[in-house]
Amino acid sequence: MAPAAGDLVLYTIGPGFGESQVVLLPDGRTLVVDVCVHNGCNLTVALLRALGRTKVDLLVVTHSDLDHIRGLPGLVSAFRPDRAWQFPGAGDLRALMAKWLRKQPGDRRLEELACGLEALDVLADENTAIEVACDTRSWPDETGPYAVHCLAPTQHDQVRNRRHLDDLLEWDGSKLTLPDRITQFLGGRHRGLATRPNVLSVALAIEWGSVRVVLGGDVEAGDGTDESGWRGVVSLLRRRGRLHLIEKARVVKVSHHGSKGAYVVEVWQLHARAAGETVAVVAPFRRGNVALPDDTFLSEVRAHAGHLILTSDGHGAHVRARAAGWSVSKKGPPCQGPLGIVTVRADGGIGFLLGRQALSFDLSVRRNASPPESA
Amino acid sequence: MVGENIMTAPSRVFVGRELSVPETGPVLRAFGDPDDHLRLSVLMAESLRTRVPAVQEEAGACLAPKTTWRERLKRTRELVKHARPHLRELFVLHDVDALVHTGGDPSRAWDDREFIRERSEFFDLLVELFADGGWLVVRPQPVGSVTLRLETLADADAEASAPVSASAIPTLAPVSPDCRSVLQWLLKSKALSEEALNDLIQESMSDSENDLERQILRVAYDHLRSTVQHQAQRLTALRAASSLNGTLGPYPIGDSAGHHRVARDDLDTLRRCGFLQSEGSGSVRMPRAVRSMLRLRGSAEAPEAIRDEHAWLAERTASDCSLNGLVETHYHAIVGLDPKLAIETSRYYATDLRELAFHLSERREFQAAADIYKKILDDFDQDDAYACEYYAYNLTRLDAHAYEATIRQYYEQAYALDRQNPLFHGRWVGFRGRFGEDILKEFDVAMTRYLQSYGAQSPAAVDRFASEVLKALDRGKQSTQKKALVDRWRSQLARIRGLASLLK
Repeated sequence: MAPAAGDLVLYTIGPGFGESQVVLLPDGRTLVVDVCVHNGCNLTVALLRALGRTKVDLLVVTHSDLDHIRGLPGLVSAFRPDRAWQFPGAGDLRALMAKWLRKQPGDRRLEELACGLEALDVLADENTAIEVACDTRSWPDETGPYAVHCLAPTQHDQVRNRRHLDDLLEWDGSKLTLPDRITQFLGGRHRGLATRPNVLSVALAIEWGSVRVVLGGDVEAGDGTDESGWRGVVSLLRRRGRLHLIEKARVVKVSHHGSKGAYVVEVWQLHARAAGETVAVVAPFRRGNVALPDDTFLSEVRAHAGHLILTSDGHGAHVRARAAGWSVSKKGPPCQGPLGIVTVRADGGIGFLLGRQALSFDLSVRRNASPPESA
Repeated sequence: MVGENIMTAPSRVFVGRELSVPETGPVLRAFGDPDDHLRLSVLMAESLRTRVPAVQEEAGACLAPKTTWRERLKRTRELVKHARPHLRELFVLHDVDALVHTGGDPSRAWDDREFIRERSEFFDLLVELFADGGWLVVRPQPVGSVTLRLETLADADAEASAPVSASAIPTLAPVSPDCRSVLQWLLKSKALSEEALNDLIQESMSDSENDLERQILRVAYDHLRSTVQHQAQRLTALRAASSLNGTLGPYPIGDSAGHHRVARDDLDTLRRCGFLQSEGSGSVRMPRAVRSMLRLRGSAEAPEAIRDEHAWLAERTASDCSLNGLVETHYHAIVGLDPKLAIETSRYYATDLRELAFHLSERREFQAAADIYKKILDDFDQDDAYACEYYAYNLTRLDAHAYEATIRQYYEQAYALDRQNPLFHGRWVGFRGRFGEDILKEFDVAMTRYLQSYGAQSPAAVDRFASEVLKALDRGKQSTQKKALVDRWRSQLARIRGLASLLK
């Protein structure tokens, strides 16, 4: 794969609820992963406009959580992507939400999700959108200077998701009954599946010469088996002889906002480059009592990544990063918004540019050393 | 073929699609629909009545709408046994496996027990009749439990007689003949790689029967555009094979989809992906497993659109005066929620009007639902426990006080007809509690009985009984009696998920 003349630039938007990535690819094409809305502003659309982009070549919708899908109709109507990849099982989700909303109208979360799925349906009906999973063919193709590969979800996770759904529905061949706990399945935590939408989350690897960029979506550790979540991705890539896609990654958009459940040490061992050259980018998240990234992640990822970018300071993330042993390495020159920008050159060289709310960190103590006792 | 003491051919079983089976007698087909047992018993009776003059009387009983299910079953057995010596070949039965209940745990389905039981009894009868010879049983989608039941048949070596050359394409072998086209499409279109299929096979090995097949159909469904998914959902209204010759059965084919119109591109996609498969003589059919998957999704996503298709088909077939035409119109009128036409076409059986009443009730049309149940009881079967129960239930939803006496009468009658049904029992006890009757002792006895019978660890029965009583006491504001009941049984009731809110 011959390196192209241009750079690869990864913009990660993460204001504290919601995340999206915009990737300017070396040949000038644009990849958008998820959509982010904050305070009524569609940050993904705003960024694309600020960058002077007039088209989206590939849109990837990783999963059906609102913090990744909100604003999708706006993006689709503004840019009408040439191609879209969406998480699997949208048909089932759409059907169940329709039934549930008939039974209990007014659930704004589900109504928003339904709007997002409608936007994807429009693309699918134009033969633009397809559902993707671990074995989907890469984009644009295998012969160009770079390829975007789909890593997840695995077959195992798709199967267990379908089985849980089957167990939940009462269907006698003519009557369908939805139990109340279907709402947990549709959008929240579901017994046996943890956070269900994450089970089906798409994750990507961009392969550009020797450069690897991993965009982890909200993939988590899974059900603990070797076929689920990140371990499942590793097993599958190993079987397919494609483990190199996640090895020695130059940049990793950390999955699930740096949650403890998404941190799998053996996967990070694969990601890690020598001399701490791997950059970890986190879009923080806060809802209720959950504040991400998790302190354990912030501490343990120091063994694998030499740089950490937090796109915003949601809920003390910056202070907690310092407490975990990271020190601020770069402020500005600031651009607007909760944004982390990483520029990767064909030779693997790297540069950062940060938004006003973002901070970049280097390790403040030697690798493998314990973090300080207190902040 | 009419004559005396003709040597009846032994029954044979074919695993495969019917395209490759030489048909040797009148063809019957099970669709996996709730009316299968009723419809097939009538079609069998009509066929034998015309072929064997000696069985007119038994056939007549099977064709009479007021014949109860138990009587119909008995008469069908006698009819076939009496007709058999006169015929070498009785019937070709397609998809016997469709008669087996696959809608989840039947012990949870207290509401649907009668249909499930009736279908099961009909299946048992067929197995008994197969053993006497004269049947060709075609199994495009075999289920293990049915294979076991058919093992005792002579010449029933299913694999040996399988006409589909599964071995020619080994990758397709793990799925039933009806679903092989779907898998073939997934592999050919590279929507599923062979490696991914192997992963899927590994994943499905440890789970329930036919899991691989279900997974494959879901993968295929996920790969269709939403417009094609919706089109496919609507086409589930067609359960029999449809001619494809400028139209798809009654549906015009156009450049775009529309009201009762099929888009050419969508149709092509559905044929390519195996959701519609060619039959002989230029017709296509949706395999049962595909139809079942699509009906579930259609009933969740667009039930009105599906009903609309059935209502339209009912109108279209209403002029078909053949027996088959009549039962199909009846079926479409029921699913299409057309009470007038459904009742008009109840020429041979009527217990499936329960389905119609259920859906009317679900739409909160309680008066219309109650009227249908009353019609079933008055005109067809006064001992229909389900109809008694839901006549009372719908009156309760209308006005419990105004209809109190009638409701009491029918709740009591339903429970008397089905004493093993904790749901019916719970409503009967609860209704009296709602109106201030002391039910504590009766509740104690019943709880003890259900806990002993079903076990505290498998609480579906206890759940249904207790929750109906508690809900009724809440409605009647019988807080003192409810408190006494809950205090006495709190530890047992608290273990039941879903009852927590009722224990406050």
